[in-house]
Amino acid sequence: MVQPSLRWLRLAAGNLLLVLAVLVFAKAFFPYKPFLQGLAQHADYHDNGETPAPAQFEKVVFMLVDALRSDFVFGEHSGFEYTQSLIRSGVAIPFTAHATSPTITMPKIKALTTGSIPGFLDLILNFAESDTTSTLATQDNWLAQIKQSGRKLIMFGDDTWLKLFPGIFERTDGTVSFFVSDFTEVDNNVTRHVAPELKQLDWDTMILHYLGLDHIGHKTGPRSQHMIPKQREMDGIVKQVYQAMETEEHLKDTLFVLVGDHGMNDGGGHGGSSSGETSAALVFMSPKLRALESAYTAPAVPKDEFTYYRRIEQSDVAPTLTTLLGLPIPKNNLGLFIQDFLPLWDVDDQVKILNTNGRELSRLISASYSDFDRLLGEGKCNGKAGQLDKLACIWHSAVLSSKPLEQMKLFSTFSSECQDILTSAATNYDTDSMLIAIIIGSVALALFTTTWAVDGVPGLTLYKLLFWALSLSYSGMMIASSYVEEEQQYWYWAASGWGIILLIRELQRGESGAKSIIILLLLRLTRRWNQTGQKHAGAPDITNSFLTQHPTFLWTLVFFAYTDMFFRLKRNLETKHSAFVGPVMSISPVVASMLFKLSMAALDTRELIPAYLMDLADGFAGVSVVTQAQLVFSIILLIGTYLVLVRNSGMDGTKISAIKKLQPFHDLLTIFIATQSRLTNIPLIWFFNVMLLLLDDMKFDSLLQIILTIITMQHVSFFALGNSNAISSVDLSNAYNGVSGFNVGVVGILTFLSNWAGPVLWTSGGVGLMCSWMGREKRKKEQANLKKDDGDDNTTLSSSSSPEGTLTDTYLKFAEVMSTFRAVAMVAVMGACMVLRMHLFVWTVFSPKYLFAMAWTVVHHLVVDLGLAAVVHYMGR
Amino acid sequence: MANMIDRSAIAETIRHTHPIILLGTLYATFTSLVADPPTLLLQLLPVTIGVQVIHASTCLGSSKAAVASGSKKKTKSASKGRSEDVGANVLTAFLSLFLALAVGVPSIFVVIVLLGAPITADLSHTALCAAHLSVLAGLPLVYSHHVQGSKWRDIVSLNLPMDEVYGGALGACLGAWFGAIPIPLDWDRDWQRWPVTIIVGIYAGYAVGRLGGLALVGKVARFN
Repeated sequence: MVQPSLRWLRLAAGNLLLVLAVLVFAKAFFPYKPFLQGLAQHADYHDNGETPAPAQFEKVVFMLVDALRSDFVFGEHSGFEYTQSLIRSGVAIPFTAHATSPTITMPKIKALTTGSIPGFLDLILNFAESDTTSTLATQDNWLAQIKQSGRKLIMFGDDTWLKLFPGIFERTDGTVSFFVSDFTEVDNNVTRHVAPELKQLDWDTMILHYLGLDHIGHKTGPRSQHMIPKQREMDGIVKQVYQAMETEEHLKDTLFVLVGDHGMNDGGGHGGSSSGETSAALVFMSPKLRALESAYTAPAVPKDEFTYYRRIEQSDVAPTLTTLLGLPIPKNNLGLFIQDFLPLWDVDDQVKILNTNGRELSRLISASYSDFDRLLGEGKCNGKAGQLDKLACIWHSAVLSSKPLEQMKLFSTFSSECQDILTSAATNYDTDSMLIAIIIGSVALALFTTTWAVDGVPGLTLYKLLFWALSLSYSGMMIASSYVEEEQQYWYWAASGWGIILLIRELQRGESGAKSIIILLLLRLTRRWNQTGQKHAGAPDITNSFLTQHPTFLWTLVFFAYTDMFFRLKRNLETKHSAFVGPVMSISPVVASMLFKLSMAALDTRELIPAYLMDLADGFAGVSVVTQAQLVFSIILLIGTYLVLVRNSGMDGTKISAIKKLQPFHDLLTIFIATQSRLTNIPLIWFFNVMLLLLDDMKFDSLLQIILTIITMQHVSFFALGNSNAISSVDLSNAYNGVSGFNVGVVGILTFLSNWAGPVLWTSGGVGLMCSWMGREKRKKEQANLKKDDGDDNTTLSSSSSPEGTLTDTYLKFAEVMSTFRAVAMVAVMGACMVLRMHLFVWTVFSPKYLFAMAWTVVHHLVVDLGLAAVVHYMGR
Repeated sequence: MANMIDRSAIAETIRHTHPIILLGTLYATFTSLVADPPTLLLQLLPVTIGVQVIHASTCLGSSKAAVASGSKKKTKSASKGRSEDVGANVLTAFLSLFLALAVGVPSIFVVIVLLGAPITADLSHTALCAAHLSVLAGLPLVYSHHVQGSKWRDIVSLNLPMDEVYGGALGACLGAWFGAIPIPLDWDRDWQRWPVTIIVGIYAGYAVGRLGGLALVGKVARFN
């Protein structure tokens, strides 16, 4: 037997090492990308006295239609008939713009305006920064370039632009993308400015951002009946603007860009990397473009599902737009000038344009590889085979060449190679650090395995084998990208197997098996509640196909769920001398939480409210939802304080059993979790509590059985509530509950709790299961001692001094086994990310998985599983 | 006496070739199974039934004989019972088949759905899957243990001592569960279609489980 002090030390050391490994690996795996400050000047790209290629356009109308997928504009069944006629007549140049994941509006606006490629790490940074500081004020972009050249910009539409570019616009009217069910008002607010502004002479750049089409997608999908009318409406705006360009003298030098920030998948969602989500439409329009003599057909036949015409990168928009306007290319641009527009200039300028693009990119290379400047300075090829040497060589050949065509070819090769280096993930990995991190993680794992090898974990060999089978098969799964994407399948599969084992166990105990069967039934409902993952996201599920269609049924379930919460809390709060405390104290948080959810629904998801509840909902929605949420949280906090200070300190002198002390905390947590969950998920929380009740009644005979249940159900509940290993599945709808201003800490905690609601609930429930297990062990021991007292007195001492089943031992065992699982999983994820760092899906599958694994380990495991469990555990003493 | 040796020789041959015939048939028809699972499963069902009935009526003993003898002696005493009346054995086998299908298909269907089979689509696939599992795992069990309630409680709760029949049945069930593993992979192969991998798991698990049952004769798994 290892001394408790040594066990504490081992637990702390192992977990510290694990966190260290996670952080070291993260630093190596998510390389810091150098980023240049300030705005580019022409002088940056041109040697003394050289003039840049002249501008082709003076003004820009940039019309962004949210979620405008390529086929919406270019396809057979499109409402964009006028736009298609422009394409046919040669004044509109169409492209499919590739939007890299994450396909979410804010990063995509960044890509379109700066030419950089924001990854999902930017998304995290974006979120960490506050609403107001996450701007592009310090990053070069074409809006800032236009402003720098002394021109004026105006903007109408999604207020994301106002957050990203504060103070840059002369006139604005921001619309909020809050009411997703609004298809018309949100666009009319933009359109009403178009006609008057087209008459105004004082602006040079007008940005329009239409949200309606995206709302229709989210609501009813790409094949919705609302889709074609909305496309016609957008086509009407195109016609209005284009005809003004033809007729109004002051608009004759205007370039008109119609662009989608991202596409949508078959379910109408976006954020991921499916071909529908990454294929956005892009059209450049102006009567001047007739000079390009392009001959496109429209509607067109796609090369693959969504690739119409030529596929370019979204980041190519920034250098192309600035060059067409005669402005310097934004400093951090990774895009390439779209060569279709080169014929607008004479040959000298064409060379100049490609040279400029190359210079801009080479400065970025120099920022990452300090050696590169020296190589460029050498002025001739050094004949070495290194990647940078070769690159410099191309540059030298291009500069020395006297044939313009050859120069152009070499400059564009140079640019695209620079782009490859800058965008490819492979070059930046610090494999040594990654390896060190994996070794540190393995040391932590080795420490935890001594629990099994040296101290020994009590319980049947069967369950020990199951634990290791679960841990090892889970880690093996990490190298298959589809299992990472569809991780829920693994846990549902494992959980149903566990359910069968529980059934057999129950039958072997001579019971009916009804408990396990109910659990299996609830599990079956749970797994179909929200479709998640990649492949089936958006497929029919209970939430979307049934509850949304039958709001009355949904509210009935929600009402029962809250009623259950009330009765549990009431029963657990009741004390002997006051029958009054229970009901009064329990009704308030439950009612407050339910009314808050109703008000939220009235603001957010009105279709989930049955008609007869609408008046009530609107009535309560009149009270600020922030206040309502704060009220719920305060009541929960108050009751919690009462429990800690008054009731559990045993004011009436009688000792309350540990489990009795813990239960009200679990009930309060349930109400909190329900408040932090989507409305449609509240019945699931009820199911989980029913499962916990049944599980407790199964009277587990070893800690390992309880831990296996907790691990499995934590993951099942995580996925069943609609989460997945994709960043786009992070649910922010409850991140601002009760928060009026932006507060990084609070919003972060609320975001975590609303996404990890299921796992947190199961940790708390698991502590309850362990508590009643300890009670059973204690009773067993007492009985055994009693028997032995009757018989032989000598053996009593040895058996009662065994620490098995005591509070500290139980907590340590729980922590040790949970840490073992986490360490196995974490080392596997690190290993998979390292081995597969060149994999095609490294950005879209493995990197998000790493972020989720980090959250599981650092936040959920350390804070909730170990921290919260310890607090709850010892509170129940 | 010579007749009896002959018979037990036949029984031994059937006993050994039986899993090979089952797996061979599945292998031979695999392409059609992938192309159209329900049709092929329906066509395959009579074959499997035939093989199972022959196997049960020649190689398996009924529980009366089995109860009397220990686990090792089972086959011997069973063969004694068998020699008495082949016709009665075949009749018993068909009765077992009827019971296995009538009770087994609906209950296994429910269990498969509880474990995650689609409920809104492919119902015939799932039902046929349940039918195959009933015939492979259920028929020999009914044949050997009849419909004694306590016996069946032991069977479901894994309280029955291991033998070849029980091993085959457990193997088929485990095989079905493990057969679900490749389905979510994004390989987009036709054989990932429901319930091809489950069927393969059932057949392979049945064959392996019988061997496992022989190896672990008499053992009981404890879950408490």
